[in-house]
Parts: sequence; structure tokens; C-alpha cells
Amino acid sequence: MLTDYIALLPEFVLVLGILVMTLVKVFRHSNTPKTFYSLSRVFIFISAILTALFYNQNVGEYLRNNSYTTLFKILLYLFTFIICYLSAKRFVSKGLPSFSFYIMMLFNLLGYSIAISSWNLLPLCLGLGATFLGNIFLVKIEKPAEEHRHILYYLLLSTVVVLFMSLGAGLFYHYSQTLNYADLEQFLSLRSNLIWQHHLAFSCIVVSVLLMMGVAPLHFWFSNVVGKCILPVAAYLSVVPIFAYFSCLVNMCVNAFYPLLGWFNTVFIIFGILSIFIGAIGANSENNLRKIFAFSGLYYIGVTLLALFPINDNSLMSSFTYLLVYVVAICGVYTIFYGYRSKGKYLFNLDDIKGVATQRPFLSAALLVFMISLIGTPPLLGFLGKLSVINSLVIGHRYALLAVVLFSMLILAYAYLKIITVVYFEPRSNAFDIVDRGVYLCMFINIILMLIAIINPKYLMHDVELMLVAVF
Amino acid sequence: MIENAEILLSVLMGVPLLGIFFAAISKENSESAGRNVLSVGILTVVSNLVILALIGKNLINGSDSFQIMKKFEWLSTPKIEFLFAVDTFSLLLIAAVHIAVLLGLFGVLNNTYRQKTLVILALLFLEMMIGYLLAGDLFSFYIFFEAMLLPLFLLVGILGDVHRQDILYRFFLYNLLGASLLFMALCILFNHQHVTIQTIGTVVLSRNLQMIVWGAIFIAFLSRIPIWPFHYWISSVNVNISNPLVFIIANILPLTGVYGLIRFFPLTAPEIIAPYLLALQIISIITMVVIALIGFSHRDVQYKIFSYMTVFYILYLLGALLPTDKLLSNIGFSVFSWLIIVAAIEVIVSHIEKERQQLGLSERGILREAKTTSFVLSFFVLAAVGLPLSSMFLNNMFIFAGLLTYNLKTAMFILLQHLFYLKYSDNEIAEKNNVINDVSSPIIIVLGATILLIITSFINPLWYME
Repeated sequence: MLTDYIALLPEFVLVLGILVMTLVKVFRHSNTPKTFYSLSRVFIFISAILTALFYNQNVGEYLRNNSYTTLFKILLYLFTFIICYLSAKRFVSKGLPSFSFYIMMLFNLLGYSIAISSWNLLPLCLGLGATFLGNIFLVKIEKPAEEHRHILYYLLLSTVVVLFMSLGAGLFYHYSQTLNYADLEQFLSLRSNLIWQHHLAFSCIVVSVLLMMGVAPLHFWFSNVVGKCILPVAAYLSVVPIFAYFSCLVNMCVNAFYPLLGWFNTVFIIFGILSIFIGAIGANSENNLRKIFAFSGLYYIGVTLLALFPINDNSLMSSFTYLLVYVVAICGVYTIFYGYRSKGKYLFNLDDIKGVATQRPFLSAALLVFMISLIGTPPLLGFLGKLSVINSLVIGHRYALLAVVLFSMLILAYAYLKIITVVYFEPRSNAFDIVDRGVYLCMFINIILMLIAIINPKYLMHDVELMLVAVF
Repeated sequence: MIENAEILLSVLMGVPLLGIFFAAISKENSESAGRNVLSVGILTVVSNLVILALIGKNLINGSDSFQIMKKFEWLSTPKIEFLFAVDTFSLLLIAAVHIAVLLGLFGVLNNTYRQKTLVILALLFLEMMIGYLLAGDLFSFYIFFEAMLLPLFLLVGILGDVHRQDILYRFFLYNLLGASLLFMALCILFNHQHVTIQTIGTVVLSRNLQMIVWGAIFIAFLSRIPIWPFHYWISSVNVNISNPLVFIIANILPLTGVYGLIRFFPLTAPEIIAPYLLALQIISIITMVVIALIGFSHRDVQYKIFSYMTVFYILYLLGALLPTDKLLSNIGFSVFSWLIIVAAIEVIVSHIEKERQQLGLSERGILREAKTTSFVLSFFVLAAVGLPLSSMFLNNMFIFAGLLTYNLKTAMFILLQHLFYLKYSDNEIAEKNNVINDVSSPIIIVLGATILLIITSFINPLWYME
């Protein structure tokens, strides 16, 4: 009994953090933007340590921890911490309130942590639904009243998604009288013929998760949200939640809905192909840097889906490697965006960063490194991701998909070339502000990690492989 | 002989990286006028030439197989091991590339525009070329084949005077497409039988897979060589480049295509694509003749050099595709002199063109007072057309002999287009005061040393080996 409570300690720390921050906000009047960053930093750190400590403790039949869930949780903590650190610079330099942002960081960590560990559809729906709905508070940070239409649109969308997900869970409960993963799998395996209601229930849940991931054709909300919200929120939404969605998708597909998966594999592949094409073409049609990378993210998620399904240990490893490499690079790109400022304003249009390489050469060189890594060009880390996915497709003899992935990469590369051209070849049009040392620090650490990972990836990948297979 | 000679390979690959680091941190201000960073670049290349000489001492001449090898495991699942190795052929090409880049660095001695960027990217390109020419396994081969595109793209984009961005995009995407095809083919090969470059001829594939794999590899390498339909990107990029170093580097790129074909198919092309070789030969010959004619009629000297290079690349390609591996050493020794000669010509020509444009002179008799420049240029041009001044003379004769043996018509066409280069100067009357200054003393010294090297390569092409 006691171990059940101990396993919940990381989540308890996050709840405590939310409470403490709320009390500080209400009762302390001399708060600065840094106050909430400092508080969130402490709670994230403690929670991450406890997560690593209790990596194999379960909480009854609802939440299960193993090396697989711990891997994803640690990644969530790590990237959330980086975004929090970089965002603090922005809030402090502008002197703007940071409470909403940092409390939502803790809240989302809590929700994702529960969803990743869930061994039951109830905590899964609660965790993912609450965070997706809760993101409304992130999206509306510093938004003037006239832009509330977009916020209402997001609210409507997230409500529908949560209802859709709940409908799927409800249908399963109606037919099987259980929401537990293992029981559900047993129930579905024992039935000789699965009725359409089972497929509908499965579709409701999976499609909801895919919509949260922003997979095409359900991608319509993501680039709009990322393009219009403030930089810290755009960075957060682009980098962090994808780990939670990926982890939950794999966990429930493997442990609860495996008998239904064969039927849905084709749908996953169609979604993957659509994402690849729409992502590659969409990135070329934009001038807003964040939207370009939002669309390119769609491409990478599409490739991840193609590599993941049908699920086995090899496909899981390759898709995870690809996803991780993408997130590391996109995190680097957003770090650079924190450095691209002119007259205190963060720049996000292509025209604003013309010729920035002449004034900020190191920052621009780093952007180049991250973008080339995203293209998958060796010897950068992106090559490792490309190699694992292409190798997985070759092993599966899926040559047509291989051609789709490589051809679309050429289209996407065109969008990156446009950025490189603007940064390096065009004459400078703006005077750029001095870059904060924190940005350089994050950039430097990111590049060093990329270098270490690409020079000798075998030790890292070996451990990651062992952690990933714990899901089966 | 040096014990643990394989360490030299690591040093060879490490020195340019060190050079890049020092170039990046060197001070670039009006006082130094870019000399610091240029010195770093020159020192780096010279250091590597010394290392190459040491490696050469450890090679047994006449052996075609890899002699010094360094292997390390990169990934456990899938199990990928990188192998870096050197033989006489790759050593010659690495040395030639180094000397060409060194000449290019001397060519930009008085050019201070974004010199730091220039040197860093040139060294990065050099690093990638070394890696490519040392690659002994499938994946390291691909890695450097694709990786060299980035420094080249940046060099051409920043310093290549290419004003139309669509040309740059096309250049990069054409090459990326080639690299992607190569990657796909290599992944299939790797998963099929875990083959290496040495055992690639023994791989057994289904007919469809053979078509996909060998076809993709062929297209990938051909995409680097300026034959139709891949000629467009390289010609449109090259005609604009006025910076000698960038021009030299951009024109080294097609070498990767020829080298790739030689490494993958040293003896003969796979059976499945053999029927297409005739079409390739016809296209090559047509491209050769057309490019030679354009070079003949074009007034732009830069274009003439480009067309000259293209013709020779195709010659080497045709030599490499012959069903024998006996010509590989000849190709290696010929390319060694040829690359150095072209680099030297480019350095002198860019000096002449720069002076001519600055002084607003016409082309008539501008070299009549610049006697040293005139002599050096004449020497290199005569060596370039194949007179007995360099190792090109003897080795090209063997390549022609090979072509005559296997394909008489092809050889005749190639000999025919060589006539176009005999048009050397116009008999126009020189104008008074229409003269330029000689090239500066440091460049004269370097070019003099290059002449000695070239002559030595004619007398005894194997002088630097035991």
C-alpha cells in the first residue's frame, strides 16, 4: 500500500508546486517574472529525480511505471526545463508576468506524467484531455481581446477532442466492463469477430491522440496556434507534448488494442503519407518561421508514423530515434529564435532575419547545423534518425514508402534552403540585439550533445533500446 | 615504414578540423586584413601534405588493394563499422585535391572579402573530400558524398557571385537527389548481404532489385558529373564564380562522381545496366563535343576552363567504364597532374581577369609586359593540352590506348575534340599601355614549385613512393 503512494511522489511534488505557486501569486506582492521560474525549476527538478528513483513502481491497476515510461518522462522533464529556462530570459527582459506560463508547465507535466504511466483508459483520457484543454491558458497568454476568436476556436476544438476520446473510452466500458489495458486486450483477443462498435471506439481514441499530435489531415489547428502564440508557448508546443502523445499511442496500441491494430495499420500509413506531403508542401508556402517549422514538424511526425506501424521492437526503436533526433534539432532551432531579436522584439518572419549571419555568425551557424540535421544530412545527428527509419523501411521491403520519404525530403529541403539563403546570402536589413548568454549556453550544450551522439551513438542507442522494449 | 601507420589516417582527418577551429577563433580586423585566417588555412593544407608524404612512404607501389586501414564500430544495431583506408589511387587524388586547394588559397591572397568564411568552408570541404577518398565502407562513403554538399553550397552562395537563387537551389537539390538515391541503394545492399565496397561485385540480387540498386548508384554518381542532363547545374553555377578558390572547389566536385564509379565498379559495370552503357557513352561523347565547341567559341576564359575540365572528366569516366581495371593507376596519375594544372591556370587567369577589370583594359596583348605570368600560364596551358610536361602525357596515352582497344569510335571522337584546344591565341594587334602587373612574388614561388612538381611527375610519376 505504501509503495503505491511512493510511486505517486513525482506527481505529488508537481501538485505541490502548483499549490505553492498559486499561494505565492496570491499572497506575495513583490513577485518578479523570475520568481515563478525559480519555483517551477525546483519542483521540476525534484519531480524528475523522484521519477528516476521510482522508475519501476506501480500505482494499483491504474498507473504502471517501467523503464519505457521513465524514459519518456525524463525526456519530458528535460525539455520542459530547457524551455522554462529560455522563456525566463524573455519574461525577465520584457518584465511581463510569467505565472500563467510556469504554472501550466507544471500542470502539463502532471497530466502527461499520468497519461504516460496509465495502464487504464481513464487516467489516459484524464491526463491527455486535461492538458490539451488546459493549453488554452498557454495560448491566451499576452493575447489582446481582439484575438479571442482564435482562442475560442481552440477551446471548441479541444472540447470536441476530449468528448470524442471520452466517447471511445465509454464505448469500450459499455461492451467490456473494463478500461484496464490488459483486460481490454484479453477481451478483444477472445472475441472471434469484432463488431463495428469496437472499431469505432478504437478510432475515437486513436484519432483524438493523432489530432493532438497534429497529424494530417487533422493538422489544421497546430500551425495556426504555433504561428500566433508567444515564443515560449510555440517552443513548448513544438518540442514537449509530442513525446507524451507518442508514448501513449504506442503503449495503448501495444498493450490494449493490439487485436484491432491490423485493421488500423493502413489508416496510420495513409495519415503518415498525408502528413509527409502536406508538411513538405506547407513548409514551402509559409514566410512565418514558426509556421515553417510547424509544417516541417508535420513531415517528421508523418515519417515517424510510417516507421512505427506495424509495431515491433525494430520499428519502435527506429521511429523513436527519428523522433528524438527531430526534437533535439527543433529545440535547437527554437533556441536560436530566442536569440533573433531586433529592438527588443522577437523576430519570426523570413524578411526580418535577412543577412543575420553577418551580425550573428555563431547563432546563424548553429541554425544552419540544426536545419541540416533536420534534412538528415550526414555527419549531423539527423542522419542517425534518417538511417534508422530508412533502414527500417528497407527491412520491411516497403520501397514505395521509402521513395515517398526521400522525395518529400527534397521538397522540404527547399523550404530550409530558403531560410539558409535569407540568413546567409541576403544583405542585412535589421540591427540585431545582443544575444543573451543563456541562449548561447543552451545552443552550445545542444550542439555538444549532438556531436557526442553522432560520433559514438552505439552506447546511447543500446541503452535506449533496452528501455523501449519494456513496453512489450 | 612507420609502425601503426593507420594513426596517420586519423591525423590526416583531424588536421583540417583543427584548422577550422583556429580559423574560427582567429581575429579578422582591418590590420590583419584576413592574413591570420589565410595563414591558418595554408598551414593546415601544408601540414596535411606532409602527412600525405608520410603515408606515401608506407604504401607499397603497384598494389591495388587498401594498404593502411582504420576501422571502428559506429552503431551496434544495425551493426555499422566505419572503415577508412588508403591505396595509391586515393592517395594521389587526396594529394591533388590538397595542392589544388593550396593553390586556390594563394589565389585569394589579396582578396579580403569574407576571408574567414571562405577559409573555414574550404577546410570543411577539404575534410569531407579526405573522408570521401578514404572511405572504405558503404556508409562512410555515402556520409562524405552527401556531407560535402553543404560547404560547397555555402561557398557558392556566399562567394560565388550567383545572383539567381533558383540556380543555387537547383544545384543543391540535384545533388541531394543523387545522394538520396545512393543512400537508398546502399541501405538495400547493406541489409541484403551486409556487403562492403570490396565485395560489392559478389552480391546476388533479384532482377528488380538489381535494377533499382545499380541504377540508383549509377545515377547518383553521374549526377555529379556534368554530362547531359546533369550538366546544367554545374555550368550555371561555374560561369559566375570569380573567386579562384571557390571555382577550384566547385570543379573538384565532379571528381567524386568519377571516383565513386571507379570504387564501386573497378572492373566492369553490373550486367543489368551493361545495355545502358552504350547510351551513356553516346551521351558522354555528345556532351564532350558540344561542351568543347562551346568552350571554343566562348569568350569568357572561366567558361573555357570549365569546358576543358568537363571534357577531361568525361574522358576519365569513359576510361573508368572500360571493362578492365588496368587503367585505374593511369587515371589516378593523370588526374593528379590535371587537377593541379587546372588549379594553377585558374589562379593565374583570375589574377589576369581581376587586373584587367580593375584597369579597364581589353584582352589584346595584356601579358606582354607580365613576362613571368605569361611564362607560367603558357607552361600550364601547354601541359594541359597534353604536351610532354606532366604525368598526363604518358597516362593519357594509356587511357587513349585502352579506349582504342575497346571502343575505336569513342576514342576517335575524344581525340577529335582535343583539336579544339589547339586554338590558343588570337593574332590581334596589341594596344599600347594595355598591360597588367605580374602576379605577386609569393604566388610566383608557389607556382614555380608547382611547375617543378609537374615536371617531376612527368619524369617519374612514382617519385614520392618507395
